[in-house]
Amino acid sequence: MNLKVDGIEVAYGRRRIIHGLSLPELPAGSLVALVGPNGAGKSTLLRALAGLERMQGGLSLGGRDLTRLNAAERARLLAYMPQQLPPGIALSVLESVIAALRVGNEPDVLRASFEALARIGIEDLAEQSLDGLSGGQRQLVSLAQLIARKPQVLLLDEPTSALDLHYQLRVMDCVRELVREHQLLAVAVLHDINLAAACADFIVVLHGGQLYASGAPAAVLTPALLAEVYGVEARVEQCSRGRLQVLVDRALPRVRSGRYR
Amino acid sequence: MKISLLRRACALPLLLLALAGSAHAVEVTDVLGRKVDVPAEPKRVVLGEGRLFFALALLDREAPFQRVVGWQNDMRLLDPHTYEVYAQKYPAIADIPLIGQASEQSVSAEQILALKPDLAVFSIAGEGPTQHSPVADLLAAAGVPVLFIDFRVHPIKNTRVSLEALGKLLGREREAQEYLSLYDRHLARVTGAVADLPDAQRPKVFLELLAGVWQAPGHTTGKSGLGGVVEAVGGRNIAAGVVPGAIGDVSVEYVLTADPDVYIATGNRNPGVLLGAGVDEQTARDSLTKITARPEFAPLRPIRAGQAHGLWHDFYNSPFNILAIESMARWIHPERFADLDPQATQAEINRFLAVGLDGHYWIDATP
Amino acid sequence: MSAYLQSAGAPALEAAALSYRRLLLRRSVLVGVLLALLVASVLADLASGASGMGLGQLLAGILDPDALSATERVIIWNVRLPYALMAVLVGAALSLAGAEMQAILDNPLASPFTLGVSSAAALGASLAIAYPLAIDWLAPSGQVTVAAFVFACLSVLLLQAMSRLRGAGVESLVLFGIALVFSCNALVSLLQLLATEDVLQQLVFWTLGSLARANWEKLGILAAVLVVLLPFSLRAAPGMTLLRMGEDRARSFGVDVRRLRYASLLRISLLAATAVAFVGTIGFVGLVGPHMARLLVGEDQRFLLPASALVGALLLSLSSIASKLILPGVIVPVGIVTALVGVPVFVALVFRRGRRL
Repeated sequence: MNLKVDGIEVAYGRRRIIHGLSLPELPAGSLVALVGPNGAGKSTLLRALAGLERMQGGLSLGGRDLTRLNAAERARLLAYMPQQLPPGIALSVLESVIAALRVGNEPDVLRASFEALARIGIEDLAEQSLDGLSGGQRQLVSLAQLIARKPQVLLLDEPTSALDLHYQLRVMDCVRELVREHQLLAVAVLHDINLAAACADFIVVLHGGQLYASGAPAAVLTPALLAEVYGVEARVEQCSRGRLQVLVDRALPRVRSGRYR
Repeated sequence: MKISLLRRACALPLLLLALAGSAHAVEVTDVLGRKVDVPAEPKRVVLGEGRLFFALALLDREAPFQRVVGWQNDMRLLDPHTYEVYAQKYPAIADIPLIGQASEQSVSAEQILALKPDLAVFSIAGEGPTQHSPVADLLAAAGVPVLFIDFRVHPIKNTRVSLEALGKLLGREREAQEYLSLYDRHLARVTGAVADLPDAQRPKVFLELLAGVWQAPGHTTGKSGLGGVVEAVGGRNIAAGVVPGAIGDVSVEYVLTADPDVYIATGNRNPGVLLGAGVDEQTARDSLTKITARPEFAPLRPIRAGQAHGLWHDFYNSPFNILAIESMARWIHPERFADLDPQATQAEINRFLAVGLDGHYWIDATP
Repeated sequence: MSAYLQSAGAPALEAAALSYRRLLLRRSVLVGVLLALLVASVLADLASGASGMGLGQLLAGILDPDALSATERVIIWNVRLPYALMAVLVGAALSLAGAEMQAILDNPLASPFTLGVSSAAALGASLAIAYPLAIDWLAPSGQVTVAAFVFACLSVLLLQAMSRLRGAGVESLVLFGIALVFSCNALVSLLQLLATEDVLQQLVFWTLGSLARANWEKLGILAAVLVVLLPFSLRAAPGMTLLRMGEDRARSFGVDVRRLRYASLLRISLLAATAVAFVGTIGFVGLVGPHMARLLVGEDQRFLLPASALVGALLLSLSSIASKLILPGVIVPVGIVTALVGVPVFVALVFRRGRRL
């Protein structure tokens, strides 16, 4: 099922965050990275897609108008993963996934929860308390909660920030495999341009609340874009293994008008 | 026939006994206007506050504790010297069961009930249960009569009512009347002389409560309690229109601007004015000097003229408040009341008490 | 099969299911133990008192009332039974309200006391004490209770209205609650300043909180409130558990957070307002009860809510006993005891927190 984003506007009072943003159809079975500098509106857009922000505009999934759905119906189709699991929750890993399912109509909650854990490969953590886990493990638990609900669209808000290298890759690899296996659509806000380049099928670049560019990583990530959007002088090259790498050389000085030279 | 005759024969003495018993049944009206009746002379009395005991001391003169089966601990805590003096004469008072420490919250209703009192004596305000307290309702449910007295909120009006009612209930009307005739006489002497005094002839009085002990200077009273006494003896309480409630703090500036003619500090312990049982004159005077030496009120006229006065703080809730009334009258209208002699009154009161008031209960800065 | 995505093998699932069921069983047993402790505490509370009447005497007296003197009857029916039962009901109500507050306001410091419900109740009561109205069918004492209740409910409504304001998150709610505490306390102090002696004494007495104001009517009302509201709390429990893991997460999973919060605040106001209106300000139970319960049964609200109620009831029941026994014949105000009893137990539990769930 493809996601269509058409002329989305999000405002906080008089302050507009997202200005009339439209995207080309995002196909199922792909991982889309939302990138851009701070304040570009990436998280806001993601939250708007999740139904957590009031928005104007068109949003449809497989032809179905999402804006007309109530929260419960929307929750069956889309699932949003916040940046972190809050600390200090006195629940076990299994319990936290069960809790995610209890608010739905899942008949066999225990089985579905355990299977979600197994799918992500953390079933051995089932009895452990959330408190004792590392940041990376907690993100995997978060992910398990998400997929236990069997949504069509995964919306991940900076899933890899504050994670160490191993878990950054592991989380994104996991997402990619889920996306492939179940033909899901995953939209992830990523801070790390290289991570985005490495794992995304599709990159959407936001700048100042508007769409700056979108497309395959190789097409989108150009030195010109990086200079304009991020204010850095960078090279985009293929490494010895054929992977796209963004190599940042220096920060560009800012011209008086506020744009980068 | 025989049986009914026998019955009638028994009935008569029973009837007489019943009548005799009901002759002991007494009804009085307490300070709240409630009718309180007891079927027979109370032998087991519970006091809502320990210091209500002083009223009993005036009535059960020989053995003032004979009826007290329970009381709060406030007398021991707040006036330890007086307590010690009594304890020496009546060691058994150490064993009187406590019904609370020194506050309404600490009173145990169950303890009162367990003591099986036939009369409970409470003050309408203070540190014990009042008429709004659930304890009063519980006692009513258990059939224990409760008498409300008051030496605190309206001392001028209620001291007489309280002692009269209590005396009547305890079968001590004679003793009550003996004290009250002294009280009334001395009170009338004062209030009569200043009854219709216009404002212009009423000296301005600043009555500082617990001077030096309270956290800030200027702690005083409004219209009730000792403030009411000031008015009754022909003075004008400078705080009367300012302090909205029972007690409050007025600012130093206000006092200085009001320029009172008379300054009275109350106290009962260090570091304030030291007065009360066992205190000698010099100690009392020295403590008053320390109080008047405070820079805040040093500019006041009476203090500069060396004419400050100290008064025992606990007169604010005591049947012996006539001494406070007389002292204050003398200070406020020295010419009118030059003949008043509170010392002599104190000696007269001591005739009514097994343990007399020994010590100094008021002091002048200049003898 | 991929490196990460595996299917659950049947034996692994069995093992996990077993372990989970054992966990649930353990929790249920803990709740059962709490209930048993509570019953024991109530019996001990009934058995203690200045008159020395023992449990046997008391029970005999209940079965055969005519064998007792009027005093003994009053002690049983007007003192011991109401105080003991009121402790249980008030403790349960305050702690349950506190647990829900901590869940929906996402703040471990939330409780009826810290968010101003108690202070608002005190203000209402103080106004009614200071300015009683001449109403035929409602005595001044009844006016005080009603005023306390109304003000407590108003404070929760105010909190709810605040939460609806654009941009107001849970932090602003908590700050507003704290502001409410201070302003209500200040107004009560102002009333005290203006009060005559006997009004002043009533004001001070009311704000200190006391089980001595218990009677059977109040018990009935509070019991009814608890019995009616607890099922609704339990029904909202799964949504609240999810809410504890983040509002966005919960909303995205289909929880109607707004409605959840609204209904919860309604329950909180009824529970807290009724409890405080009947016994005055008793702090600490609503704050600590849920925390202690959480250390015992975890964050699953299906267990945490009833456990909080039980812990709160137990806490206040034990405090009631202690308040009678510390000084013979003298009552130590129960609010002081809850703090003294609660703090060391709480600290001890916190230090043992390293253990597994």
